[in-house]
Amino acid sequence: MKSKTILSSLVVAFISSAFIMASCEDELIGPEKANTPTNNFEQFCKTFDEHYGMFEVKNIDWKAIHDQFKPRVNDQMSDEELYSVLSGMMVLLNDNHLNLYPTDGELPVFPGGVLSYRNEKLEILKAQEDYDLEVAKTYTTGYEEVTGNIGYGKLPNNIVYVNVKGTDGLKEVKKKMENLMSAIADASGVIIDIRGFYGGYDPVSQYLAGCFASSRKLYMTTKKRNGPARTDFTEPLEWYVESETSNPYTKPVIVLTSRFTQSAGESFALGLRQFDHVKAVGDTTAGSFSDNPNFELYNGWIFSVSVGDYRAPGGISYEGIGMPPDVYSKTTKEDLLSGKDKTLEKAVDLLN
Amino acid sequence: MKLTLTLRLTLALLLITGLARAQDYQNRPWMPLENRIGLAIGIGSVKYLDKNSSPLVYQSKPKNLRLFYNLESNTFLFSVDLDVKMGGNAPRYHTDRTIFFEEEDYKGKKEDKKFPAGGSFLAGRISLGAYYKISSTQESTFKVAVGGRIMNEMFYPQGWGNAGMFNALSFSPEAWTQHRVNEYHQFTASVRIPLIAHLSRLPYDNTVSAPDKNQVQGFFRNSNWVGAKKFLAPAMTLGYNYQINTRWGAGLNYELGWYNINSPQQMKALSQSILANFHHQF
Repeated sequence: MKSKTILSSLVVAFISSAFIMASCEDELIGPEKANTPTNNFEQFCKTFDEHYGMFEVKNIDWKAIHDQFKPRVNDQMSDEELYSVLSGMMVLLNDNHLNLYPTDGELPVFPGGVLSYRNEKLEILKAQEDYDLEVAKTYTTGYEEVTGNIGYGKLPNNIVYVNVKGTDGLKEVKKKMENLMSAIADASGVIIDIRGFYGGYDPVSQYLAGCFASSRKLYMTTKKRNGPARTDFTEPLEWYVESETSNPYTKPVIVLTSRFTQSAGESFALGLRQFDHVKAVGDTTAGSFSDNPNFELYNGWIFSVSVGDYRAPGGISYEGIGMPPDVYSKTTKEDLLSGKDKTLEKAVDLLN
Repeated sequence: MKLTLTLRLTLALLLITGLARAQDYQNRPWMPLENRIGLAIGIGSVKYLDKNSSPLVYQSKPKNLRLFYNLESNTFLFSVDLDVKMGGNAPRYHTDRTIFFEEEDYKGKKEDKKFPAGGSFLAGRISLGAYYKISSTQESTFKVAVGGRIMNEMFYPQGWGNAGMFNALSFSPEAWTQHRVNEYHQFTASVRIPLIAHLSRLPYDNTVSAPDKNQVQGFFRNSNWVGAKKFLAPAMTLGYNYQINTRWGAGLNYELGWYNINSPQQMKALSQSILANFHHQF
């Protein structure tokens, strides 16, 4: 009888506590702030303030930007007006890694292209007009995919064209690249086209660059925000490029870059460019190296923030500037429409 | 010759043990849990707010599958559980988010693309528990056992954000009670609280990339031993078992867990699940 009483009490206590816990959700998990334009604006500013990694290197006074836009914010403003405010603030950071994703299905992702300043005027390049893989492929024979993001084909005079447009899983890349490196081992030169490499995972780029490394070299140092204070950064991590393959390719290499070469595409180019046998041809890259995780607002909108400060050897930051090529060349829209890729042709000429 | 003798002796021992077990088994009014293996399926609810990544409360109503094995003697109880939860995942007040891309190419082709910004939730847990039945209750219909549980638990939400991700290998003291109402009905309840955990979370910057590391290795770089101050995760369970016959049983289990993780920023979560199980005793 006693045991029954104890157990009954236990069951009652348990059910009560379960009920209390379920009904005290706000206390147990935490309440959300109200979804108002003012709260969304402040959350946006706070997230950048506490996570953006390049205020110092870009000499940006974020508080001044906050104060500049704050008068435009009120709780009666529309989603369109809030979108205008937030995107206006992002533009001032001159960072191709910042995106604003409204989630109502009506307002488009901002910027939806690559920021480009010409004669101090901002232009958003929505369409890539200097590269088309299908056009580049017409110069090759036997083009084949090695992974979902890597392919190669042969060009005249024993030159090999390799296209990298992103990063796959590191394990898969390591396995597949062995075959590719064997296939290109006898080539007199290699053209690596990363004009359509919009981003991916840096350690995969590190491995890929190592396939063309003749020695071990430091190519990048990264640190990321680890606290709300502007000086809160992790200890710097050093990224070295070195070959992990049995047969790295160390004969002449040309890497083709564009304003659309971004993020892990740029770190790949940076790794390659530490070597004298590699030359960059094309246009300046996008200038967006840092990782850019997504954060959210109370209205459900998503936005990305560059959390790191990535530097090339010598402490050089290409963020917001981009890496200029060794040889400038630009394929135009008209070239592509007539089936020509002037930058690829230029690279072939340089290797010949 | 020697092999044949060994084989005969082994068979004889097995026969004797089997007969003894069968007699013992028949003498007991209630099937004592020598071994119990079972499968449970159910539904759950998980809600969390991970301030390291988002100010939004996320919720998921995952399906729950559990495999369990218990070994019970008069004085000890051992248990092994493998538990998986899978379901959709979305912010509580923004369940139908859509992202709109405007795309253009150099040929002048414009395309509007809309994608649902949904996500998924996956949680997994493997645990191993050992308990000692308090001697004064060993012969009673109301048993109390105390012991500990080593458990690895993972929350792996996927989607446009990073909120809610963790892995914790923890050790928890646990108290367990069982009340046998009669030969058919039995109730159990337990409560546990981790004392120490090896906790892996996304760092403050919410990224995993690091030189020479794949994404999994990058995630587990951010692992530390922490105490209850950084990983507070009490959990309670309530179970009812119905003994169908001496070999088979069925039951219902309810589990409630609360998480208060303070690394690198606060994440709180509430997890509930109810499962129906079938088990076999042998």
